Formats: sequence, C-alpha cells, structure tokens
Amino acid sequence: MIWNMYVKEMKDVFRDRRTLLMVVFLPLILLSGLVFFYESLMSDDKEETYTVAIPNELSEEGQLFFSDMPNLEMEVFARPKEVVDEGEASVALLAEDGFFESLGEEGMAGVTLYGDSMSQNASYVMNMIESKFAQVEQGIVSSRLEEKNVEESILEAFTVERVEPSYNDENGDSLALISMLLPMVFSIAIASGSTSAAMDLFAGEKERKTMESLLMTPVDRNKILISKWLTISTFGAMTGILAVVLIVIETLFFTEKMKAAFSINEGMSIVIIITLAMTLLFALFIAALLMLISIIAKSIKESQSYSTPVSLLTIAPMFFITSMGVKEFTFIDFILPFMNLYAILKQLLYGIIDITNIALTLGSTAIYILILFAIARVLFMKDRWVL
Amino acid sequence: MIEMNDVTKKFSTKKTNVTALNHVSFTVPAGKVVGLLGENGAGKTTLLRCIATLITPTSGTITVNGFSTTKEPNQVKRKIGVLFGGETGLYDRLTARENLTYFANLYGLSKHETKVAIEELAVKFGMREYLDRRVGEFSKGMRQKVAISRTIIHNPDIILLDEPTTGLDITSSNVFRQMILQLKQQGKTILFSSHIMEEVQALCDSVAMIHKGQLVYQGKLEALYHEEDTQDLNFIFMSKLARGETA
Repeated sequence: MIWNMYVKEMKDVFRDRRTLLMVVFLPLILLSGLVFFYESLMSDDKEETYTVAIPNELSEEGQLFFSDMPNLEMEVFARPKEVVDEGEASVALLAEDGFFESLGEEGMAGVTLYGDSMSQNASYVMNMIESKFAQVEQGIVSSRLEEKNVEESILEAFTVERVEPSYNDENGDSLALISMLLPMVFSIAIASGSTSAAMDLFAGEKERKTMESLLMTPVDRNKILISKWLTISTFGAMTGILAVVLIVIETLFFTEKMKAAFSINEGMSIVIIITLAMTLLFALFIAALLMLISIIAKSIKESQSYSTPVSLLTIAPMFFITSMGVKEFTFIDFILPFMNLYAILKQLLYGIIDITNIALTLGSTAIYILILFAIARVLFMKDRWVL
Repeated sequence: MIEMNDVTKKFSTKKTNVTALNHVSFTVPAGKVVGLLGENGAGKTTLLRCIATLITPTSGTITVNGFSTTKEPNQVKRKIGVLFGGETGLYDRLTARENLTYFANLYGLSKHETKVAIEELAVKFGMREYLDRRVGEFSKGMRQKVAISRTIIHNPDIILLDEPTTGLDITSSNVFRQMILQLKQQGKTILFSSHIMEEVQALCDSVAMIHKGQLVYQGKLEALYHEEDTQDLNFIFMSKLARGETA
C-alpha cells in the first residue's frame, strides 16, 4: 500500500512541471553558476589587462620595470586619482619624476599606489606591483651590501618556515572554496527540492480538500504519512545528488583552479559512500522538518511563510565554517543540525575520515529525524491539523 | 443503516466554545434516501463528518451497519462513500482513470475489480471520452461525475452527500440528480444534505431538519406534508425554525 501511494505521489508531484522548474531546476542552474563565479575569483586572469593610471609617460627604465607584466596597461592621465575614483583605471601609480631612473642610487625613493583594496582587480594589481617593487628592492639591497662587503645573511636573525598540514597541500585554496561551496549547494538543493513537494502534499492537499478524501479511505494514517514523507525525501535526495553531480562535472570539465581540489584519491570510495548516506539522511531530515511545517500550515501560502527560516538555516552554517580550520570543529558542530552537514562534508572533502565525527553526524541526524517524524505523526493523527 | 444516538459535538478554542451538534439522535433506514435540511452553520456538515469518521463526537454514539464510528472506523469507512459539496477531492494532475484507480486501490480493490468498476462507472455516467484526460482540464459537471464515481468506486452500502450540487450549473445539477436516482434504484442508503428544497422533494423518502445543532424534525415527507397541511417544504422549514421545535 505504501508503495502504491508513494508511486502516485511521485507521479502527482512530477506532473507539476511549473513548480519543478521554479523550485528545482532554476536553483540548480543558479547554484551551478557559483562554480564559474568562484573559478573566476581564483584564476589569475592572465589574459585580462588592467589599466594603471600614471601622471607622465614612462621612461625607458620605467618601461623596463613593467616589461614582465604585460597585463598592466600604463596609461597617462592628468589626474590619475580621479580616474581611479571614476573606475576607469584599477590603480594609480604616483611616482616622483625620475623615480625609475634613480632606482638603485643612494637615498630613499618614494612611490604611491592609489587604489581600492576592497576591489578584487585593484587589490590584484597592487599586489603585483608591490611584489615587483619588493623583488627589485631585494636586488638593490643585495648589491649595496655586496659593495660594502657585508654578508647578506647579517640581515637575517632567524628564518621562519611555514609548513601546512598534509591535507592543506598546494591546492589548499581550491579545496577551501570547494569545501564551502559544495555543502552549501548540497544543503540548498535538498531543501529547495523538498519544499515544493512538502507544501503540495500536506498544506496543498488540505487546501484542495483531497486530504479529506484520503482520510475517508480505510488506509492507516501512518501509511499515508510515510508515503508522503518518502516522496518529499526522494525529491530532496534527487535534487541534492543532481546538484552535486552537476557541480562536480562542471568543476572537472570546465574549470582549472577548482578542479585541483578534486585530486583526493585515497579513501575516495568511503567518501562517496558517506556522502551518499549523508544525502539520504539529510533529505529525510529536511523532509520531516518541511512535512511538519506543512502539516501545521493551513494553506500553501502559510506553509511558504513558515518554511522561509528553513531556507536561511540551510545557508547559515557557511558563514561559520568558512573561517574554521578543518580540524577545529568540535563535538557541538557535528551534532548541530545543518552545521553537522557542512562540518562533515568539509572534512570529507579534505580527505579526513574521522569515524567518531561521521557517527556523530549520522547518529544526531537520525535522532532529529525520529523526533521530527514523531511530532509530525502526533499532529497528523489529530483532525485539527489535517482537515 | 445509520444510527445516531444522543450525539453532541463541541468545538473549543481558547476564545470560543461552539456546540455544533446538541444531543442529536436519528436513524437513516437501509435503502432509503434521507434529506438533511438546515441553514448554513446549522451542523449538517459536522453531522456528516462525524458519520464519515472524519471527526469524533464529543459524546454519544454513531453506528453504521452496526459498526461504531469511533471504535471501528475502518469497517465504517469500507461501508460508506462520502462526497462533500463544492470540493471534489480529486487530484487535478492525475487523469480521471488514475484518480479512480488510486482510490480503488486505497479501498483494497484488486486490479481486476478496479478495471471492471471503472468501466461500469464510465458507462453509467458517460465518462468514457475523458477518462484518460487530466481532471484539471474538466468542467465542474465532469469533475462531479468523476467525484461521485470516486465516492462509489468501492460499492459502498451507504452514501453521504454534503450539498453535492453546490456550484453546479442547471445541466450538471440535473445530471447529478439522475445519478442519485440511479443509486437509489440500486438500493443504496443515501444521506444527503441540501438547502435546495426542490431537490430534496425530488430525491428523498424522508427528511431530517437541523437547526443550531439540534434536530427539529425527522420523518417521511408525506407525513410532514400531512402534519403541516402544505407541500411547500420551504414554508414548512421556515415555520419549524420559527416555532423553535425540537424533535
């Protein structure tokens, strides 16, 4: 009986094409667009050129200075700062007359870089120019010391070597982004996939009075509840898996920087199995939560209002985990709903398979499911909530 | 047969306490069509919902063919078919056949029984042409035919109809009345709420009048005409309410 009801519910929800398009496929497309956004954030953009505003034509020495930076276009403006303020140039380089010619001579030469460090482009250009200056300065200081027969090592009292943990290899930046992006996409996709079905199968049925017809049949209300819950969960899990597959494909075939994050090979099968288990459990959890909301609501509109905080909860953990190291998560992080999904997926993406944390995440989610389902069941048995 | 014995139903909230049914007792004999008359809010729908096991009476007992609605709701559900007015309770995105198959399945009919039942109903109510079209595309009359088919797909002995012609145009109402007469000829017990007196006069053997949750009259139509010395059911109904009689 549950199977028959489940098949009918699936058919019914699948035929609601407009809602499916708006609630499932549109978010999927938008979420997958994030991959390209992050890729562009990470890429060096070697092909892109940036305008640097300068007050006077560059001398030969100046041109030589910037010769290894072909993506910087030095352009003369009467008021370089204003040009930057108006957005026509990324950065203004204000150097004293003869600055480049006098480089290396005795005395302190000065240069000003004017730009908005909050702008990604300006920050990138400023870093590039500063690095070049630091490199040139290093050469000048070395030759000055050599002239005075002073060992360069005298300037170094000690050396500091920064070593990253093995999981934070050369692809650390890509991995950090992916570990933030993937759980968020996963969480949003499961929630958005479940929402339309949840609203339709309880609040919608109450509104259309089909719930009455259903309750007048001799079918056990538990079976009705389970079949609807499984339908909602299926839509959530399907959307979640679809979103992740889409993002993995996009990342592997259409990105360079982000692709590097997927180079984990050891224990990959365990990671996939746990991720799938997490998908199912999280889909069941979200489905139970949205089902409860939909039972409480008298109409689809009311259900939509009540489920808004759930949408926010699916994104909220991202703001916390972004700044947290992969080993900094505590017991609480693995038992808090929503947060635990982000925490465990981040660890898995870093190739960390911690059985205790996995057990805590799966176990706590299972307990939340039981609690939410039990409350939903109590309400569904009462006429006040279902009619 | 439906037997209601001293049934009271109260709806309580923090602010209000409404008695929808107040010590109502009456019987619907097997094979008869009984009209349930009352103003809006009189308690007709609550009474039908209590019989349909959708809500539980605060006190009193209701039995359907000997089964208690509170103690044996599933047996009762198998014996009855219910249709609430204005709402067809059908799934718009499913076809008429899919709707009927689904409900037949919920009532425990086998695949063969379902197929036969749908064929019979399609012929009886002239639904063959649109059996495989989605219900969302149907006119009100077409929907009502599918809805009554859903109500009787499991061949119930007792049929509860709550203002079934509400919102229907004249043609659809007439088709619907014909359907009720067909069911009557098949010996079905029908409890039928309405505020359209002509409809009640045309279809019912006896009537029950309900006012502010209390039963004000139950008996055969002929006896009522004789008692009130008129066949104007509208007039009789208004007079009963004005006199504030209880049965």
